[in-house]
Amino acid sequence: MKNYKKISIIMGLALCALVLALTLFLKKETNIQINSQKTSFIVGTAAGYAPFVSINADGEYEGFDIDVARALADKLGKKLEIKDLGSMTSLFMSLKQGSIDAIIWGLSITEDRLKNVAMIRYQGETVTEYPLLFWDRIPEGVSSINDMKNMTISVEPSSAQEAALRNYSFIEKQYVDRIDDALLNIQYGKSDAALVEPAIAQKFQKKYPNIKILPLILPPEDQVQGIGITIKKDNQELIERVQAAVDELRQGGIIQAFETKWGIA
Amino acid sequence: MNSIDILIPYASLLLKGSGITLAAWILASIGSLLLGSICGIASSRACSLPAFSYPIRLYTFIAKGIPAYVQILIAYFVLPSLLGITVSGFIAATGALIFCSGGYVTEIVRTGINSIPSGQWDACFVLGYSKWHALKRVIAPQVIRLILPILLGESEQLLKSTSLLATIGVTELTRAGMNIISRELNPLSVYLLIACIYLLFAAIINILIILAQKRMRYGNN
Repeated sequence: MKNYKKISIIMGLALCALVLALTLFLKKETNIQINSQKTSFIVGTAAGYAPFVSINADGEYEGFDIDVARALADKLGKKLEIKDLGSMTSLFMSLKQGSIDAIIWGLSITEDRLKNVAMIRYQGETVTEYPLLFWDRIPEGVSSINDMKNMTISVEPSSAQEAALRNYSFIEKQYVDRIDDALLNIQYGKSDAALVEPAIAQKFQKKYPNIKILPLILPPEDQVQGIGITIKKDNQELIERVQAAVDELRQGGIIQAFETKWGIA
Repeated sequence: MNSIDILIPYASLLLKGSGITLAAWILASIGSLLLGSICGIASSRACSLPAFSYPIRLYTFIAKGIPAYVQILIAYFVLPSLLGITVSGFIAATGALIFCSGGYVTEIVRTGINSIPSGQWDACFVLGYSKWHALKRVIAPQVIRLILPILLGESEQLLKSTSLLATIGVTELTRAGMNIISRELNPLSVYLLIACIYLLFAAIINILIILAQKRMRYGNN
């Protein structure tokens, strides 16, 4: 019996050593394989974020970001490959691993994100305020966020909106996995308000005109420089090529046409 | 336009999502049942081989200790990177669910086998049964009857866990619904519809298990 115990421990240790060896040995090889994939432009995104990206009734991906990705791949002379990764965590993990070339998912350009990745602006101007959404009416006595002591605001974790709330410690944040859930929260009184992207606020208000909006003015350090295509910082060649392609698309009025098409102008 | 009218164009998307959910659930159920049965039998008191028993205990510790969501992320991102292979989200997530649920099934099967009095094994050996035949003809039928309701619970849990496939971009039922919500902004009706579809699946599982239990009772009589 004791011998079996020893054998088991040795087997366990051997297994751990094997996994460790595989980790060290195979990691290099994987990176080489990914870098050599030059023929396609692999874009990571996540459906369920209309009008930027969603799946239509026919099961096809569509939206502003999908149109931009297609136009960008054309300019780069590469075949577009859309990789739906479901969540922000998965998108950033894939970018870090190199299994996607870029993230195109309506991501705001923030100082925090720029510390880790490169972001090329393709839509939107500098955002100086975010819309605070209320269902039916703005509570009495509330004319700015400073009047919202001990009130609850729905916000997406790790978003630019969450960062903008850091200066207001008296606000109770209610995290939502998806921004559409914020709508449920304010509709059913689970949150007093929701802080969202301006384009999303437009979409919500179009569907529910009873939504009331109060602007949250952003200090200069929290102002967002539009939304950007996210690329690994060390992929300098791709950054330059995508920047040039985006400039061409903007000068040619193509991105503006997509904005009009998807109602996010 | 009422909520039903809004949802009708998305029927095919919801059906496809339901199909993916069912496929993931069936594959994960079969896989975890096989894995759990093998590990459960190999680590049970009567059949135990210490060389297998300790690694299996380590496996159940890992499978039960790490949240299914984290296991899915590891299966989709870390393992393919280590092995230098490409795995689809569906395969990675289903594999992770098999691994995770297999740990629980192992415990259920092992506990079931261990609950049979050792005298029954001895009686089988006296009658000249091999270990395998004793397990197959005497022990297993009793164990199955004992653990079936617990396996039902695990199976229902597994069905609900398939919604985790959404986190790596697999458009299963929940994610198909989330996509419709983002387009149409009618969360309540979509979530209610999805809940009804899951209930329908759970009802099917329950009916199948009840039928199996009835059949076993009939065999017992």
